[in-house]
Amino acid sequence: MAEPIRSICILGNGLEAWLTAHVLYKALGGETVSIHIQPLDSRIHDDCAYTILRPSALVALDQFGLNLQGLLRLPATLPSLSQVLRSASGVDTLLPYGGQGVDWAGTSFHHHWLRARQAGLRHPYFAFSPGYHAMASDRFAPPDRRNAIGPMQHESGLHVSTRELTENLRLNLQANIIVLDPTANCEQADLVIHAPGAPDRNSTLDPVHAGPPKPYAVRVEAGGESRLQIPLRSGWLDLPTPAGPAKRHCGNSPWGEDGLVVGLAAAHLPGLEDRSMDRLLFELETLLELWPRSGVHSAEALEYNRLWAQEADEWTALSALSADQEDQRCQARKAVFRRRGYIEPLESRTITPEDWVEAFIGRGVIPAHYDRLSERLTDPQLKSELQKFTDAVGRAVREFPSFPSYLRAIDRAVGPATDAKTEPSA
Amino acid sequence: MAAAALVSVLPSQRVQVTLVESEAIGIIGVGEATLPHLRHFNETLGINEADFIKATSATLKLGIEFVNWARKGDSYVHPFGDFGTEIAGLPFHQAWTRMRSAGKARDIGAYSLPVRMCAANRFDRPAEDPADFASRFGYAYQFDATRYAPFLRQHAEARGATRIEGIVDTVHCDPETGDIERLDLKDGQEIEGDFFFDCTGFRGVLIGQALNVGYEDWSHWLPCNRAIALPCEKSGPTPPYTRATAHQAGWQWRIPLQHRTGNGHVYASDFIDDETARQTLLDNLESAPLADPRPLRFTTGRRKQFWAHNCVSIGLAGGFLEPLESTSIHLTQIAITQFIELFPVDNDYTLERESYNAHMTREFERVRDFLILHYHATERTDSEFWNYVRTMPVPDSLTEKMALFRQTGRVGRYQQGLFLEPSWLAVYLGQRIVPQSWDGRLDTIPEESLGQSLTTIESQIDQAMSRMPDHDTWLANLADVEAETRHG
Repeated sequence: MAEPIRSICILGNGLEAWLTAHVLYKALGGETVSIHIQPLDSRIHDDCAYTILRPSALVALDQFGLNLQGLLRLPATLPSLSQVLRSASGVDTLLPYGGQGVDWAGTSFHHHWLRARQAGLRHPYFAFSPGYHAMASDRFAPPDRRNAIGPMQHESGLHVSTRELTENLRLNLQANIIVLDPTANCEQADLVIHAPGAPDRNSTLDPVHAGPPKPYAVRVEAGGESRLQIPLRSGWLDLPTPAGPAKRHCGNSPWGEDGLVVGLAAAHLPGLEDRSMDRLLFELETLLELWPRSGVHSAEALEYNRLWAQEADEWTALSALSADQEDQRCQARKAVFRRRGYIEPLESRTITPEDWVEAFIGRGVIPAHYDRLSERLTDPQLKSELQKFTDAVGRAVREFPSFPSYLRAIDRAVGPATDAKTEPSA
Repeated sequence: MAAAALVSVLPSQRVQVTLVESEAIGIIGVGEATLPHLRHFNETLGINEADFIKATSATLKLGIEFVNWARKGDSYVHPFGDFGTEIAGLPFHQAWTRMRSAGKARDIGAYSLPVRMCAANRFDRPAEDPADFASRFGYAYQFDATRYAPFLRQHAEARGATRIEGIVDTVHCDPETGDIERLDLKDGQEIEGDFFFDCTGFRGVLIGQALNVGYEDWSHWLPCNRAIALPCEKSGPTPPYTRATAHQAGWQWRIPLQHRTGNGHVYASDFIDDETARQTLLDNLESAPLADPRPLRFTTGRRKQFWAHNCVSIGLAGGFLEPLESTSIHLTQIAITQFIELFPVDNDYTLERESYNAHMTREFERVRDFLILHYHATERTDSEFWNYVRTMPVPDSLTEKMALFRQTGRVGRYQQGLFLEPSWLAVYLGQRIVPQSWDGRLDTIPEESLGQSLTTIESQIDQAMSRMPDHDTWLANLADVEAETRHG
């Protein structure tokens, strides 16, 4: 029987490398497995100046000891309700994180919305979300059972400074992780993980302007180019988003003979910048689920690659939609959705059918027909349910404090955010 | 099932449903054992559970016992529920594998509530509180299919379906589009429709005979092609599970109902003759037969298109997978619910048809792989049949899954499909595929701690079971409660 894995070498020196080290250290402990980081050169690479942590990433990070309170202590961190899509003609579409309406009569909310829309309803789809109204009125409240609307709960994420989070992880791990010289030979490691990030990306932290922070980012699309304006506590960043078609750098085999490639080095997915942490955490969770006890068997790598490729198919298709370079899968799904609002069941763990519904409707793909199950509600019933829901959303959001008030409140609760070395762990 | 679902779910002002059926054509009735999903189907149709149980003489089902499959003398249960609970944030079977290798764990069934309920002949509905250990299982039914069909017919007619007694004589198709236009019945009636469901069983009168949709034969992986069905008298307490006993060239089902026990022998005619198969069944009945043995013939596989032109094939007309895991009625249910999900909005439904066919193909193929596992992962060498299935090439998808489990103890992860991790785990272990390893993160946890977790789970099962009546008492109580409710 092969020997157990006792040493891991992570190649990279940016957030992806240090988060990989953190997750593996937390999951495996430092006694049985030694973790080394080998920087590609002497400086810390920022994969990008900002990092978006979607609600799903916050849940995953919490499992590895990086909790919300700790992340809020990082000086530049700002809570977020998601992003605004600003078209070339200047039209804004608010795309809040999860929680759009509730399902009735055995079918999804968007079918009821479609039916009502065809009967003259003017509310946008996303208006049935507290997040939408909070974004529009510059209010914020973290998701809490007290502000849930029946079974529906809005969601929030964070914008963090990549450098601060990376530095924080590095400082917290430095006693337990061995940092190798960039020229050291890591071939002796039992498992090599390539996590170099994307060092060519813009890593400036200089704010473009110091306007008041908002609880959302803005994606501006103009002339075939896309820019992301990200508010942090220190001001707004305004950066071009990566262009070009989606690309898998290792084909469908990121776990090969030379080790495992994770993060941005495994796939280039323009338009999914906000999901880069979800992707990395998926990769690390999958690695841990398949963690080899006695050396690496081909079966584990094969299964990892199968799961990764399956997931990458969804990422690529969603990326293609976001970057207006639709691939075959995206086109086929869009055709069915445009016709009847249907998304087939997905194998993906990180992308749900609801994500596709939101992505399509957010980009103006409105189905021609709704699910006839919606007609199990009569017209008056549907009108009444929608009105009750709208009223409940309005009541809930009126209770949210203004965003500046909320920021002052968290400053009082967690202390002023001034020190990058603050321990983000619980 | 199709008619009842369509009239129950779709708005009546939009859709008119006509059911063409003949008393002269019998019901196959092999699929008397079901999976837990049928409860959801019945609920969607607004069927009261007590009414259903009474009308179909149903019993409750917590899983399937497999006897003599890996080796003669072996027995295991594929339960409708999890084994144990997570230990140290990892799947239960990882800790169990480690403790088993140290000789400090019992058979995995000891840590499954539904397996223990089967052994003790107990039943109760799962607890509603997810935190309660007694919530960690599901249940299905074993029922008389010959009674379920009329029950659903009544349900469908009460909600607006029109039933016509008759046998299809001629199917008329549009010469240009190939779509079905009209059915002529033998008594001269003509039935027109926008859309047709072929529920004509193996014959596939519409999908096969009229539309010429081909059939993908999977006999090389699942060589059983015949069955003999035979009811016998009820004997003793009613087990809350179905039994599948492997024989020389196939297997025998035992499905306990309230009033009788259903039996059948599924076999491969290339390896055993009909008379020997019939005698094998008769020799292994638990009580006196109630009828003559009824032979059935089938070819395992699926239609190359489940939906072609304006016709969807439902049930046996769409494909057949032997009832080893009680999937027949489930696949019928999936075919109907998926069609409703994609119900055409107009006459141009190419996109819906493609999506439907892709979905149904995936469902069938995943069930197929799971069934092949039962045969292929055997150590039996006592007959030509077992030597064939043990050594035959199997789909790559299954080979990879088996290798992964054998080497690492991991069950291939899927979000979709009928059988998920607990089911694969039950059959892997039951078929003696023992993982060579376990999750390395458990190595840091002392054996004593893991042992304590196993003991706690057993105690929780004991506690949950102590509150449960036996299966027959539960059924009797249900009938009493129902009678009291109705009378006052």
